[in-house]
Amino acid sequence: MRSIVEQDLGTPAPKFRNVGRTTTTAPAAANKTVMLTIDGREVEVAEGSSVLRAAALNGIHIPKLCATEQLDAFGSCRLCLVQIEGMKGYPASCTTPVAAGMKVSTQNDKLAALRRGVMELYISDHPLDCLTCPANGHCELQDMAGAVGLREVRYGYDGANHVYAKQQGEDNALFVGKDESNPYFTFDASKCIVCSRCVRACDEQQGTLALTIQSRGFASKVAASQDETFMQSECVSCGACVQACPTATLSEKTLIDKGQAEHSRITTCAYCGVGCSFRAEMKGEEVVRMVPNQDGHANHGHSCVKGRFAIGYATHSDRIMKPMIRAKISDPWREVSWEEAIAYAASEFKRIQAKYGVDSIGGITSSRCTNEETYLVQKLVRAAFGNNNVDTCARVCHSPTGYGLKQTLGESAGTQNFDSVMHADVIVVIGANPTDGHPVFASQMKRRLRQGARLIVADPRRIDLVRTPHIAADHHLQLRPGTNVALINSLAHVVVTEGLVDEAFVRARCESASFEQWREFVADAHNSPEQMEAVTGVPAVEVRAAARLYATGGNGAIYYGLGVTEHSQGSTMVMGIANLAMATGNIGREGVGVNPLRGQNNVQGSCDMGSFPHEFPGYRHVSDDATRLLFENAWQVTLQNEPGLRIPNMFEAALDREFLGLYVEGEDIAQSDPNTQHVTAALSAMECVVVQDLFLNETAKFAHVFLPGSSFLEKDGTFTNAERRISRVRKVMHPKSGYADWEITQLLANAMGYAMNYAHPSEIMDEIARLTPTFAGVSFARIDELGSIQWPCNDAHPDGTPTMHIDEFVRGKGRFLVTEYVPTREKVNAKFPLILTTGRILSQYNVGAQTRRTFNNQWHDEDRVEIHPHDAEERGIADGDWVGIASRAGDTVLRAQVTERVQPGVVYTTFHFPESGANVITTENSDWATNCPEYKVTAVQCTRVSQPSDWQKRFRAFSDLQQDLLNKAGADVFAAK
Amino acid sequence: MSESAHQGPGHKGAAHLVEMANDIAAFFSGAGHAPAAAADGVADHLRKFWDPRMRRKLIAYGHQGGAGLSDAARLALVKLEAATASANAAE
Repeated sequence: MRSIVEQDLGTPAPKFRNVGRTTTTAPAAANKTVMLTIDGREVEVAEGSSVLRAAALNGIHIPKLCATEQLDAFGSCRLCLVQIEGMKGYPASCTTPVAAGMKVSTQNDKLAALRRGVMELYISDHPLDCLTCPANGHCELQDMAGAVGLREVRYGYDGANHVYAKQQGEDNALFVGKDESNPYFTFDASKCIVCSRCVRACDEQQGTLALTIQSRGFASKVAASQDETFMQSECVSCGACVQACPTATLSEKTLIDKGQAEHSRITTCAYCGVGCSFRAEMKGEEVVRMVPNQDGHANHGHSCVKGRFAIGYATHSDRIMKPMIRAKISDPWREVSWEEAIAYAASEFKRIQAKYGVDSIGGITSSRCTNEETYLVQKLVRAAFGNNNVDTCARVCHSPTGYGLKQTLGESAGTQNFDSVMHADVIVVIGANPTDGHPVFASQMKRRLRQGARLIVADPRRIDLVRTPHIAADHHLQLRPGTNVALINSLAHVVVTEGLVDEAFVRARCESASFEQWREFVADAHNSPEQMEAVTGVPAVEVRAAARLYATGGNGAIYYGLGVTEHSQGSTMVMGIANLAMATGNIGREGVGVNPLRGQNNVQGSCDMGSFPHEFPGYRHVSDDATRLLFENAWQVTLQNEPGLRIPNMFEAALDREFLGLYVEGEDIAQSDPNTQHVTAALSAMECVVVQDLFLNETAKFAHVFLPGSSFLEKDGTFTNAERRISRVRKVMHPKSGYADWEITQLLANAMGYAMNYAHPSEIMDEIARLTPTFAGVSFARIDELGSIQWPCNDAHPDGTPTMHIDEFVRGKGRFLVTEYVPTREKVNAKFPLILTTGRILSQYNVGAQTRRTFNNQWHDEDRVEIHPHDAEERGIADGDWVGIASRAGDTVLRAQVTERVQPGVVYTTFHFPESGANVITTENSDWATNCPEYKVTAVQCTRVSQPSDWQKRFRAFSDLQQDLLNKAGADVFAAK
Repeated sequence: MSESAHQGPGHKGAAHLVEMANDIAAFFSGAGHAPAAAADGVADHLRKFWDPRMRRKLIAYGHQGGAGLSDAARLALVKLEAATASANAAE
């Protein structure tokens, strides 16, 4: 069912399709219009529009059932037929394109009779329980029955049908019972009109192709995979079919439970870096369902299982609603007033600073916070704490992107918008798993691949994208973990030595000295694919073929993820990618570029907002006197000109007893950061840890002050996604704990003696815009006007910047950097012969604090260790066995999943459950430039075991104790069950 | 790496800083840059991204012999210390 407020124009806006080098560079058929007459009215619409769309755009509503703007025209229901002067018969208006001078009649007696006949047939095989049907109030079938004036069904209900389980006492073979296997929606086949909208949504929009129309004629029915239940099938529960369904056949369970929403508000998803736009469909302050926004600039009406369905955490009974304090982490929690909690936190921070110095405290922001919240936390640290000890979780994911792209291109951000992929001819995916990590963008990418774009995947693991329905990678460069830089250098070697450099681009756009130095470096024989094969494990012929394809196949676009950044050479690899894109001229226009896929919703934004200890908002170094003076004047305070501590440095400093107070907003370092035991030792050494979160997360178990935060549904603000797109988060209900997060930070600043007096988050954004040149044109009003804005947005780019570096790079000339491959010091040996690498899964999100508190656990309820059959057999490990995984940092136990997705010598796991202890194993090795942890390479041994690890036993005991200490605070602190 | 670089349980002391500085030096030594040429890049990186406390610790460790530090890292520390001293003198 579509949103309650969106108008469905029936068919999509006309699209320009382009595949191959010659057509991509041809201009799109831009802004050409056609004049025609519909029901006597002259109308003007874009060339390529359907007659159905042309009519709808002009307020003329032609009845329709199988057509929806979400999908390509199909022409099966025969309800939208019209008469066109000079044309024979009654063409379907959805499949008939407009033509100049066309004269269309949408209503006359003949058409009415035909439509009534069609509807009569539909309704003869449809239940008549409209009054108690969940679609009631928003059912397209019911609306059409009304529109065509259906008054009787002459065929009766005694014949063959799909409606009744029994007929004349006998079982009805055509009847299929309700499928309620999916936790979020039901499939009631008795209400199905076989319009194929669900099947087409799964094909065209999601690209999973899990649904089909089974059988022929009257026996036709919708089936999931091989006529399985939805949960058993290949369905990924994106919900596109539910949204496409015109009847109650596919309905959200929350809709069935609560009834139709009465209002709708546009907001932005709080999960991954795609940043999908949603309509929160509400009954008062209660969410009935989330519907992806058809006008959403990042997602165009699509979503995934997390964004659409997994919001139950926001009202979960684990949520803590009252502030709490305790003197020691072994003490029970005590519920206190907001005043007391804030006063206590401030007095502790002041006490620690008085005793250990001004630099002994700091703060951590999160990519799960809005821009306004992160801005305020870094302002609190710099202005109220008086130091630069502020960092954000991007430290442990994309900090190398910020560093590497700034060094080469001049700006710490991706170069394109998502739609750019529709102009790409060769798509290169490196160290990213979009179908799991960025599913909605993956759907768009798959759409382009089905149109014919070529695909190169560089990943140690056989991710789904390597081979998926209607898509196969031309090259899967299955490299050994930790050898990215060796691979990118050998790709560059081929480009340089085989004369594939875009010399004109390099000459015009890049520094010639740095290019020549780089060219000489990569051309050296030691970087050749043949010599690097021993390092990377990738056959040289594959590398050569992939390099030729990228350099000569038309528009080449690189998409990368944490498989690039979370390495000891993460920053080097980012530079290597930028080098390759510049050398082949694949930057500065649509369809190309260097595109980091950000893990969390606001990774880009939290970095933009000055969350790093060395930078003010807008990536300006704290030692830059002019910038510092600007902030000193605005904030009326003296600021430090030296960088502060980064997150891992904070832990070291805590163990040195130099850093003893920490304010953490929305981040769970005790689960997400590497070498858990080191992190928890550091947290235990601190004298005041203040955690602001929805739940008593792993970090909060080491906290002294707990400040209950607000979910994204409870506050106003903005998120900035992976394409630099700033979108509004809109409050749809009041903060359940009393304050929105920005208000809590403000209270803390005031208690520390630094005055903050914002009345609304829009005032914070106004301040950001005043102080940050790339945000100069951004305001809540302007975002409301445009829908979303991609920064830079200023006088030069008043509507924002979809593609960066068009005529020149942000830094002027593009800079090539020499990227020598340096092997990680994390080496396999006889004791630790396997390499562990980590990643994510579709249904869970990051540390899982949100998704573990939803039905998404039905897809993934524990982290497993993937191991190749060969390695498993050597160790006597069978699928499902308990496996002990030991590294130099620690050990844990997980159940085995024996699979050829991983190569021999490599094991893989996810980190969504704290008791898994994935980060007990990972080490403190980190990226040389940014200290981003080397999560992706840990030398381990795996053995078959029969019980949890010692760490897991200690973890369980400690968690039980902390739960007990929490329960002592009383039932009032929890959300109502 | 000498044991003297370690300072206590759960804590790697200067050893970790030495590893980090060497990793930075390894990048700036790319393409056969001599240690002297690489040292400028290393010193600049330490100045821009390291908290002063970390820099001071590593400089102090360098004065104690700096076991385990690569040549480029060692040279960078000398440059860093000289630059800090002249900046302080200027104030």
